[in-house]
Amino acid sequence: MKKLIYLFVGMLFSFTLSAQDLSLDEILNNYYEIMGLDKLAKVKGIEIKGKSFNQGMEYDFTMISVPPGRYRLEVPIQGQTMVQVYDQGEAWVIAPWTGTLAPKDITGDQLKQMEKQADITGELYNWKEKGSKVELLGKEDMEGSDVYKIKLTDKNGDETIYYIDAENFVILKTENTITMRGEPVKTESSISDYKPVEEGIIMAYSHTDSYNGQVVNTLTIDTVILNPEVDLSIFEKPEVPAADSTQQQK
Amino acid sequence: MKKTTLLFSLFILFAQAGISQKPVKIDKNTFGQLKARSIGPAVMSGRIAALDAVNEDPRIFYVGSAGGGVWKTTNMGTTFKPVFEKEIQAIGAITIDQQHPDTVWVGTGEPWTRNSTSVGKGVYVTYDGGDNWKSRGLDSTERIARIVIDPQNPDIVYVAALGPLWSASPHRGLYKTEDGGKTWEKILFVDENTGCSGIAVDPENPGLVYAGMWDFRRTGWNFRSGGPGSSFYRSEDGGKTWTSIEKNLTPKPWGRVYVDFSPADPNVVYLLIEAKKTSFYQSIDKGKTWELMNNTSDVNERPFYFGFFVPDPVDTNRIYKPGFRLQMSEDGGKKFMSPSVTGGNFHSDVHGVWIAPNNNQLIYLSTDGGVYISVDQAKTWSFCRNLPVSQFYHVGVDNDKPYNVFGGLQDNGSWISPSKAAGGVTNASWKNLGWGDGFNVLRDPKNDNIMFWQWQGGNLRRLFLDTRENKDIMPYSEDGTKLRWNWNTPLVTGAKSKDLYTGSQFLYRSSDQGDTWKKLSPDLTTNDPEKQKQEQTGGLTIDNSTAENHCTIYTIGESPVDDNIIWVGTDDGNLQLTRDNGQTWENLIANVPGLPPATWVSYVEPSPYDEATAFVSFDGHTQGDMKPYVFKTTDFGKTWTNLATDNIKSYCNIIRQDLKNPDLLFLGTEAGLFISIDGGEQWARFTGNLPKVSVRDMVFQTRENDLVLATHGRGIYIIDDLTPLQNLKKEMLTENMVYLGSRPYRLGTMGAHQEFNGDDDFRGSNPPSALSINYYLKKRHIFGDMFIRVYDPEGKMIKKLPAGKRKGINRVDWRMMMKKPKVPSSVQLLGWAMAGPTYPPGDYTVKIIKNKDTIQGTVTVEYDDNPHHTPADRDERYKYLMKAYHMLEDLAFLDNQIIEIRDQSKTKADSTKGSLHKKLVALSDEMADLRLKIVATKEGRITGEERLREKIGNIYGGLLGYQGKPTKSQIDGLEELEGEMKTYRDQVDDAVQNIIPNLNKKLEKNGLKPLKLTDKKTFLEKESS
Repeated sequence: MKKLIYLFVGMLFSFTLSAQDLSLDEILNNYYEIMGLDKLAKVKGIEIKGKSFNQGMEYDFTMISVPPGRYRLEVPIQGQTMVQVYDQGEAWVIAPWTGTLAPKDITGDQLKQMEKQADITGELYNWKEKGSKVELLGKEDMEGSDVYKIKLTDKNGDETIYYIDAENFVILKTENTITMRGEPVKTESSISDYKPVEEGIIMAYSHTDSYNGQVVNTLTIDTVILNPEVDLSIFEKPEVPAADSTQQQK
Repeated sequence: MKKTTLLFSLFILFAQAGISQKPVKIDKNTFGQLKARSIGPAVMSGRIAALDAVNEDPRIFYVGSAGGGVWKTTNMGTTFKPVFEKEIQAIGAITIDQQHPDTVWVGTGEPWTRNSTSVGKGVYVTYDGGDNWKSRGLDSTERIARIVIDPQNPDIVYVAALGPLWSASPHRGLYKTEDGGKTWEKILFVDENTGCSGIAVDPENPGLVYAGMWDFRRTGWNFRSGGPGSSFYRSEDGGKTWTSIEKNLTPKPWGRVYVDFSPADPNVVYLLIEAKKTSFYQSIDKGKTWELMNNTSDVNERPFYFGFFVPDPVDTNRIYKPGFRLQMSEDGGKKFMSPSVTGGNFHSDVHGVWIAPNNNQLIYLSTDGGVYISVDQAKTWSFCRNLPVSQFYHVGVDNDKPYNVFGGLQDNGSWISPSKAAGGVTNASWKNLGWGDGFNVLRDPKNDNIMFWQWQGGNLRRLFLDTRENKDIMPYSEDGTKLRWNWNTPLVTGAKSKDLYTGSQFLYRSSDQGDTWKKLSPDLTTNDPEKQKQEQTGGLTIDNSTAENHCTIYTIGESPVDDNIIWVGTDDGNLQLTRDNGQTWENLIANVPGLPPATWVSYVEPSPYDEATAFVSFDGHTQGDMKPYVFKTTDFGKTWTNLATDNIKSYCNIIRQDLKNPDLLFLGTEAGLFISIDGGEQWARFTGNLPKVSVRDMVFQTRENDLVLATHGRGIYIIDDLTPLQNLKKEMLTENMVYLGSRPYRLGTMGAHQEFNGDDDFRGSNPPSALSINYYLKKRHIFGDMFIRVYDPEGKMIKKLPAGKRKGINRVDWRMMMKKPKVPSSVQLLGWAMAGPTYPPGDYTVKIIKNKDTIQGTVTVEYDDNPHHTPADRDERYKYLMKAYHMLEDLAFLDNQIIEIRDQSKTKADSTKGSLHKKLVALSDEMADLRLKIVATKEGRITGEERLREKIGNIYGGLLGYQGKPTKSQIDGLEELEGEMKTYRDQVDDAVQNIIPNLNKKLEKNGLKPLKLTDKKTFLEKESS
């Protein structure tokens, strides 16, 4: 671990020297390099465990991603588990408190969000192959940090603004306007606690989301496992309502 | 080599930490996450200078508030959002490019040139429906009356710039761009006193342009509408050359001139000229000839305030003439009448009318009191009750729980509201107190039932809250001297004496709630007769409303240290001090260096720390001087230091010194709030949810340690809990991390509330019901761990929280709830158990951990003052709440054991035969039956099924929802359920102790694994419930 931190510090230093006005490609390449995205792109899967802090409530979550395009999110609540799965274009959810254990299909804007979520390297990486457009809007002060402001327009035409730290080349904040039931909602995610996962890969362990300026949720990561053993059947939608073990009768 | 690099880079990191002690500049990021909270009100809304809607989809429209920015609706007024938050909030004109409705032009600075109007800063355009705005220059025009886009080429835009109200200026006249605002040409300029008040472009032939020019000027003591510059022009070449037109029109001199084409027929043009006989004309030949239609008072209501008209887009004979009310003509302007017979209930003073071009039944109206919508051609109106653009002159607070906020508004009387309320501060929270234009409102500190309020020109009433009776307590002249009262006359409670003060040219003090007034001074003003000709004010149209009253006292401050010391400032530039309760007075103004003569004293703030110290703000804008002036004296006014800095871009309305930290200063300017934490050496604008709005008054609520702001365009804002600002000292700014503390967190309840008012109601937010953890970060945290740990009074760690990571002040709120109780699993959520109890009072330690650095501090948690609960009641409630909490968890464990026994014995039964098989099946069945008594198991959303889990949950919920003594029924009920649970517990224990060990022996004999149950500790500690 100590060695990792040294490497990490070394990487930071090499970037600090080059912190001046750069081209879009230079900025993105620096970002890919410090995050280790080339390396991350090669992992077979990733398992993340953490907590979600939501208006005074706290939930644990486990997310297992298997690229390309699969992930499963589990949130245990009162002895039951909410399950959300994205599987290469399709998605479903089991929300036990809705009174049923049957999976419900997810469509529309939420499905689009989930597709992005399934992309573990993030949408800036290899943006061209993903059918997106990227534009450097300039360098500015963002809450006291010098940042590069980059706009990504994805293949659906949805725009995300990325604020990339001009000193360290990590993302400090993203901004989106998402449509929730026909209504545009400004969302913002502040990103921090970057830490090495293993040699050459760093990840952000903290994300704080705001809607229309109000903080709604903070996600913190406790553990990250690269290349975990995953049985792909966990992404399959149960044909029938999942058996409720608590309901087994004689 | 690699090793060297590593060492070197580590060295650099440490070195950076070492050399970072250079002074840190205070800027808006210093205040970090600190935010002001808006509580409206929107119930009376505020003055709207302009509006425009999308012709093809009138559900989309933009509202330009005189002092509260631009608001956009996409659902015909059901909801609005502010879209101009980064710019100056005074709006004059809004024009949508109807061919590209996402392109909207905004001219700042209102054209309705009343005494209290704010100032603008040029022209802006958005190309994305208001998300982003670009400044398009014309910064010095101060106020823009109208913007017209060429009907055939949207890159061509005309801007009618009235120009500065308070001074001569070359920056006025008619401007034109042909490149979308990148460059401008001033195509019509008369002189430095004459601005452009009307512009009309022929919809068929855009080369034909008419312009109305207005010669006008306001001073502190006079308004002049009309002069030699007022005129009317025609151009046939898009403004390259102009011809003045006055033949056959009403004789000059003229005042405000306005002109417009009929959208229904471009041959028809209308013209309104303020003159000795203000006249309204119609042309049916594009302006070649003009016919006088009307020169009655119908077309001459306050031309400076209502100098426009709106032709109907369908019917060429129908014209609307806004004024105090809305008038309408059906014969081209010959006769005017109200368009309503039974309806017509809207706020007086109309400044904008928009009529749907395809449906002239649909009309939007903007007034001194917000926006109205008619769908029946102006007969009846519905009010948009969600635009919090209210224009306060002053604000006060009391000491109720929660404390109330009150104040008076431009043309909207005086109002009061609690500072927080169940469900948020809504329109229903605000109650009216008084009429007219409202100013100071005070609660009598000696008698809760009494309030004082004012209307314009010093009128003063004592209000009895229980009977709603008002008593006139205005001081009258006892010797025939004419008393001069400012439009916005001061009324203050003495900081030390709690006496009441008001002032004309004389200062008055009363210690019996206004029944008797002691005249404490001679005339404290310059008493300049040249500034006392209010009977002539108005110019061509006399308009003497007290708005120009001058040579008056404007601000009064009694020293909080010694009530014989009183500071007084006047509108004509005198700064007076008495140190003997009015026996002698000294005019200090000559001692104030670098201040232009006769500069209005906008606020005096005697220091609460020292009798010789005072702060004074001056406001020169009524002399055309927009510079900031803030002075401090520490020697009773003999010498003064100017505290204003270059980054303060506007004139100053008020300065306040914090009550806990003498170096913390708050400065209300015409363009937002500025804060200094170093006694005024450096100032930074406070941007936390507060736009560049005019801050006119500020008051501290000492008990809650809040600052309450009166804005003239965005209502009331509250900065909750000033503790972090009070504790942030200049020398701390160089430290990486500093704990700043917070006021005690008081446990209580906001109360319950249910309403279904629709989406069109304003709702202001409440302060967070949470423990606040405040700290300062020199730099944003990016790498490594950063989080917060909270320890209970015994030192046990009870919570790990995500930290705020911004540069500057971070505020992390935690509602102090324990984790929700573990409950038996079920397809039915147990709603009551979704929240844990709140931790009890005590001193909690918080540690903020950033990689290897830790800072820590204490937050005190107390019960709030609740008249119905003793601390013993609340302790008892806590005891039973925790009992119910643990019962739920015990039941959850019991349930888990039952499930484990049931399922494991069933599985084992499948692998066994004979009596062992039977015993296992019997045990499984027994547990399955038992479980049905514990938990609701039916699927479906509303099953109504109740078992032990639900019964305990109900009592838990009841206890959770009330802060005081539990009922006997709750206590007995818990005991009863405890007994029931024990029966089941005994049954399970019997199985665990007597049956299972035997079964396990037999299972092992058969080579099978025994039943294995989770122990309680493991179960309860298992992540998440």
